[in-house]
Amino acid sequence: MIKAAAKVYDCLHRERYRYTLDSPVDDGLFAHYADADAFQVAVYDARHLLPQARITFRIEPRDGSFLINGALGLDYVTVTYLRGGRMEAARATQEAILARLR
Amino acid sequence: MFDFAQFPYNFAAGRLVAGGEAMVLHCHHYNCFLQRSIQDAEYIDSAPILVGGAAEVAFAQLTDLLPRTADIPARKAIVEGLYRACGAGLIDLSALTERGGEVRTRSTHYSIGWKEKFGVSAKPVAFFSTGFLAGALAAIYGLPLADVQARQTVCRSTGAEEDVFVLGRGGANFTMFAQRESPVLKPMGDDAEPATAVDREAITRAVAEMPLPVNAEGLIPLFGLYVTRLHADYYNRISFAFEQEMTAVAGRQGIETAAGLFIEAGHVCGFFTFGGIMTSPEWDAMVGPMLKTREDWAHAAFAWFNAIGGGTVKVLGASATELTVRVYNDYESVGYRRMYGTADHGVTYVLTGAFAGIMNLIYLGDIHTKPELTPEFYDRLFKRGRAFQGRMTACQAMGDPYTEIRAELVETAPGGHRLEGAGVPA
Repeated sequence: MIKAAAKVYDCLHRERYRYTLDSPVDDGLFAHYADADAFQVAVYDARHLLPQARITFRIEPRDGSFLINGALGLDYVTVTYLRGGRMEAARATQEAILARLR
Repeated sequence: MFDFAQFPYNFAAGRLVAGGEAMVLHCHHYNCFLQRSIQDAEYIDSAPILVGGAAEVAFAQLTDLLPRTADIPARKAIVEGLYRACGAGLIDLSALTERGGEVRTRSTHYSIGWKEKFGVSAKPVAFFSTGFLAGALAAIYGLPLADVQARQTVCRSTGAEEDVFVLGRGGANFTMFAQRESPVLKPMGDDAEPATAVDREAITRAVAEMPLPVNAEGLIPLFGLYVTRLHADYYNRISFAFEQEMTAVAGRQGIETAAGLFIEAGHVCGFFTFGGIMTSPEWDAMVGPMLKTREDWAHAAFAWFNAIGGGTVKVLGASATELTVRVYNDYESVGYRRMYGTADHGVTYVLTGAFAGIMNLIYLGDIHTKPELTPEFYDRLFKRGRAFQGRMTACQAMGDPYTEIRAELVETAPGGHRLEGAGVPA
């Protein structure tokens, strides 16, 4: 569930939101972006150096219409939307996915 | 295909060297602000310097990288890959011949970044790309750099749909600089740093290993910025050549004027680049669990800095009123000595400004609350009331064993520098 959505200033003139969630993000999020032809999911795990670190991730569709940044265990993600005709649709879709997370 | 991962990070010196060129991370705010600061001095013909600085480093780097590859198309692929890995944009060199040719692209870091930051420009702004392409043409075909010309005829920053670069043969239409000496690096000292819960070395190593995500446009959107990994000596050359021109015009006053501009550019770098980093999920995920005090934030920020290729910082003290750091092999000093020998004044401008900027964010800007990093916030933080201001108390370029920077909380002088958010035509 989305607890709060705050629009964040973005100096690249995109629209960026920080979504605070009811519970920490887990890898269940990735299931929504499992189609490798449509999405690129990149993770970085620095726990071999920083044992307390969380695994960071970036999720980007092949058309580049949005970008999700976050980390497993954090209670928020940022989503940056490219401005354009499909922005509202992309935003609605991502917010629906985040709203369904438990 | 070119990949920076093939080049190991030198943790002792805080450097990433690829093809003989040290590479450093910056963002479009710093890149464009520095360039505009140089261009604003209209009494100096800066375009040949800006193009020549890029041509110099690209030619040197590619002359090192390409001879192992005899095939021209394969050489072009390496150049295109390097350019993209730098976050400089996309180039297609397939139509290029030994006589030159035209390069058209819809994605150039400087063209896009300039328009994002300053709005529509009256003139083309992609001098780095122009010079890079000149160096690339010469290196690909084994030509003397002095026999190559390059110019940008169309630029997205002006509202055009694409960038167009025209390359040809003939006497160089940009500044040809004297050959640089080999870099001289100093050993890192055994300086005692204050105790902190932050594992500085692990942060540096983790950040250095973190992949930079280059997108389909050849840009690196990260931390809410367009990040680049460009040649340290590009920044050094355009800065120090400008400083020399200013000195020729105004003597010692010219150095002071240039220093003010470069330190201001460092403020911009610290505010936007490190502001973006310290409000990112990556920061919260990797560093956040270790942060309890503002001093921890300072130690973590400088540990992060040590992974970007700018040199190695040792924090001797950080508090709500003062910062003292030693920097070993800061890229400005190393570059200055390669180009001009021992300096008679401190030249570590960017870091002096950037480190004051980091302190302002942590102690005055409450960066832990994730404030909006707007130009208005920048002006409020740096131009009104008390703010950290940095100064060099030692400089490796002057022969010192390290560069030492102190930043102190002082009342800012009213007026003086222009506001960061204020735009001027290119």
